[in-house]
Amino acid sequence: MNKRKFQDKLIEYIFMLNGVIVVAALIAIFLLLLKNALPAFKEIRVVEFLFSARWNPTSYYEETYGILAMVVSTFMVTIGALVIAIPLGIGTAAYLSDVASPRVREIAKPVVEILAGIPSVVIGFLGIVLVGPAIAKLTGQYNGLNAINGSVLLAIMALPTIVSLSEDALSSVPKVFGEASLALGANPWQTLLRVKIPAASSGILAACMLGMGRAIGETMTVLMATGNAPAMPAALTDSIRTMTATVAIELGEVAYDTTHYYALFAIGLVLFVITFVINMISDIVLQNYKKKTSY
Amino acid sequence: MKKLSILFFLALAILFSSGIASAEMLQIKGSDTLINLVQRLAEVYMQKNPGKEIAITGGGSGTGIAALINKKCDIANASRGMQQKEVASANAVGVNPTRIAVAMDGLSVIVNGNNKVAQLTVDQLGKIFRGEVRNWSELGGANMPITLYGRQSNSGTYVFFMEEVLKGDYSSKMKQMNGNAQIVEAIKADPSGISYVGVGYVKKADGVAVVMVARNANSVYASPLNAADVDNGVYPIARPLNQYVDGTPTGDVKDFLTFELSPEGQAIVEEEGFFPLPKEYQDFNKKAGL
Amino acid sequence: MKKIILVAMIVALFVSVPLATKARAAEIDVLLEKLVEKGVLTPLEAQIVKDETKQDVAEQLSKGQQDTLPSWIQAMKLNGDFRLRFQTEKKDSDHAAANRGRYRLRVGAEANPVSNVKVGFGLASGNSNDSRSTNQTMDDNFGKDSIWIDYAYAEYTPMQDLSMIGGKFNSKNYLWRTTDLLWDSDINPEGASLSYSHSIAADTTAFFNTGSWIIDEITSRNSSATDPFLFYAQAGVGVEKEKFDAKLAGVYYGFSGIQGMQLDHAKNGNTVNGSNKLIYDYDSLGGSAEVGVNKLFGGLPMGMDERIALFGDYNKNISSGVTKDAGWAAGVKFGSAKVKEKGSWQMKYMYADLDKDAFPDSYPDSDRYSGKTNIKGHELALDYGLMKNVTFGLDYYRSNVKKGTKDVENLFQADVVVKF
Repeated sequence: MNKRKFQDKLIEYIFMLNGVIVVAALIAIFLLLLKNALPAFKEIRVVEFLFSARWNPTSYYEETYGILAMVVSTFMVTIGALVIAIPLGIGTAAYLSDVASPRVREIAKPVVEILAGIPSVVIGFLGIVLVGPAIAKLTGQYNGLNAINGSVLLAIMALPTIVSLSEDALSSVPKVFGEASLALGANPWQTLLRVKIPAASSGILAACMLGMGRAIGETMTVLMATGNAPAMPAALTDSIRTMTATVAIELGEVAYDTTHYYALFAIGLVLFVITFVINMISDIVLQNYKKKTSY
Repeated sequence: MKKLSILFFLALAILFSSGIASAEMLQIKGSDTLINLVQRLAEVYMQKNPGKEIAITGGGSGTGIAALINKKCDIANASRGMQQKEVASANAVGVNPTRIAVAMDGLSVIVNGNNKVAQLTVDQLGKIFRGEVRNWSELGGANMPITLYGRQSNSGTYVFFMEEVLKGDYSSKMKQMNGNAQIVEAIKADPSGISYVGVGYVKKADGVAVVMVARNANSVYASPLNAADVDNGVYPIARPLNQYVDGTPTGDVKDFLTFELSPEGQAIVEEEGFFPLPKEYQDFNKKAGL
Repeated sequence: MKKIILVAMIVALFVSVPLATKARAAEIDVLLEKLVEKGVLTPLEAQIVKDETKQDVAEQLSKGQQDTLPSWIQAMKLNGDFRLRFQTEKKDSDHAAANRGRYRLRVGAEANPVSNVKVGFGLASGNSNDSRSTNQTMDDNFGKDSIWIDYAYAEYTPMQDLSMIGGKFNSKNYLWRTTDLLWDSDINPEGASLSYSHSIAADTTAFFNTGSWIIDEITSRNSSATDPFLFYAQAGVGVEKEKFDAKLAGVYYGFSGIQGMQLDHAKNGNTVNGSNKLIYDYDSLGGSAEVGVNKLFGGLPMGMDERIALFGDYNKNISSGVTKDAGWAAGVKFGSAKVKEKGSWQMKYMYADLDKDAFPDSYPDSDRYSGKTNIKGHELALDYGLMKNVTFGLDYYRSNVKKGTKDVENLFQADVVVKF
């Protein structure tokens, strides 16, 4: 075997090994979660765990482990974030891909992507000192540590993902589509809205799903900005406590090998399943989109 | 390829050095409330005693106690007492935890600087945090709802306040903040807020007011900012910050604990914003031979 | 010094009572607060005492379970159940239905003094010493009710697959059957039994049960007659797979000394002579079978596995001269494999047909036409788990005389059973 061939083979194996390691790590993480989560259900009934809204593992009276309020909170803040981030994100993406001059695009797109690099602690801090008080003023509350605050901050965090991927999707719509539309007499606005966005729709959808995955798994920001009251939220102005925040807050000081300890892993497991499903759906959508647009 | 091998050796070196280090170091682990204080104590101690090494990690009281039970550390920092389950699992593996109090913490109840309410009884605090009193006007303040802020549910502070003041469950509407600093920030911003933090965090803070607290309606109102009130126990929600060791302390462990409790160590305690040990706790520590 | 003694006493007082409830903690708080008010303790001393008490109690608790009692007493298990029953029964020949309130209380204890020896005993309520019932009927103007010894046994398990039992005991592990056609489930026979099982393949076990049960002691020292007793032997095989299980066994019953006797608790169902003595002997051959399919529908809600099973018992009296000699029962049940958890349920239907001399009439299920022979009938039962260890049951029997004047009996029972 000559040296060249040997190198090729070697590199092939190294890449394969990488792939195997990633998959093995994923399986190992899942098994670890499972191993640490299942003992929780020796003492907590599954139905109670999933459908009770009372989470109070350090109660003065009787410990309760119900994650419903957290699940509702998590989805509340995530959907809130998407409501803000999706129109804004797609708008920005459309602007960047179609309206902006190449120079503006060259500057603006990296700037948007830099947003993704801001540490979540910093964004959380912004939530406490800037967004929170502003929301408090606008809604007439005494403080702004609530679901709206979390949604706004998560929207900021999800934006780069949505903008960047949507822009890619819009840009990869074949030029002929736009040209044909314009040639038929449609103006650029109509072309964008009726031709380009529909053509890129599954790419945009995938971008939104990935943005959602980012939002749902975010910990530090919501932990800092939403108040973390364990009560079931009734309004957007209520303080909420997400699943990630609960795990992050409580895992540090929980007594090892207790029901509470295992219950936190059980939350992790539920979260894992939720994110896994979301990522899988976005992956399927993206695959679909790739098939559709390969002409 | 060259880069890779450098990385490899670097990793090996780290592994080895940590292995060697842990063999001789005194390991201290636990409460985040105590970590800064103990870190500072250890630095001064190591300066005075060259050759002695102490490694300190946080992770929370529960983590520290678990490490002590599993014999992974020599001293566990705990801002709360050990729980029944923890005592049981310690005894099951033949570990006999001994508690040593190293400093006092006056838990301070704080409100926004503009709040007129300046003093409360323990009973009133219980009602407020259980969610039974919901408006400041019921306590002689302005007509606005009370917004509760607290520590996260597993902090020793949260448990201490629950058991000593509430004697019941916290209102589920209480916002749970991650750490003392965040609480202070939140109270600064919220005119309707009330919370509790370690005294070290309010000494220099402005925009928040420390509430005077009385044991009951017939007792005097005392402030945690007044060291004498904490020292003689008049301030009702003072607590000891603990370290747990296995059995009676000996050797390096005893040496370090002795330093912590010495006048020099207690001076550092005060510098870090806590209170030196009152006489009662000094007597208590004598039981452990310190 | 005084103070220290006082403090030590407080601690000792509360530690000696090994109950670390929050209520107790609150009591200590109040006491300590009073002591502080009186100036006996400083506030910080009170805090130390409180914290130490908490830790001492915790230590005491964890040690208590290991030190205070011998391990076999800790290993002693108490069990019991209480059943509240409403029953209504009516024969066609009756003018009105009999409505009865009844209860049953059973309390038992089981201990392991030596590793492979078990002793146990149980007490039960009951109107009389009837072997087939532990029901106490609500009657006699609130008169006090009696407690009987329901069982008392010693069991020796020299190796995993072999066990022997003696005394008065629950026979279900020593004589396998699928229905109460021949044996009322309340009967705890007296004597000795042996059970041996042997794994012959991965999922397949062969088992062998035998025993000698003493029915009565009647012989005077100068009579040559033997005391009535039963010898039985049963051999069978069981297959247990995840989705499927089956069990099959054949049994021989050899009764000695009951021919020409009048047995206690007999119901005048068998053929007797003018002075109510049994004319025939009751040596018989029988068989039992049960076939079950698990998770056929992929499980019930609440995470319970469902099981559907067909079962049956057969018996034939092989003694000479007997003509009405056969008995059989067959049925189907569906639902949770065990009714114990909340929301679990099981439905059962069975049909029983028992000839006049198929078996001594002092043993069959007492709810089926008072436990007589020469009957046939349907039974429909539903059990439902109201919560863990609390079940609710409905049971309906419709039985009739097999040969002779027909007289249908309808019997309905509603039960609540609480296990503790």
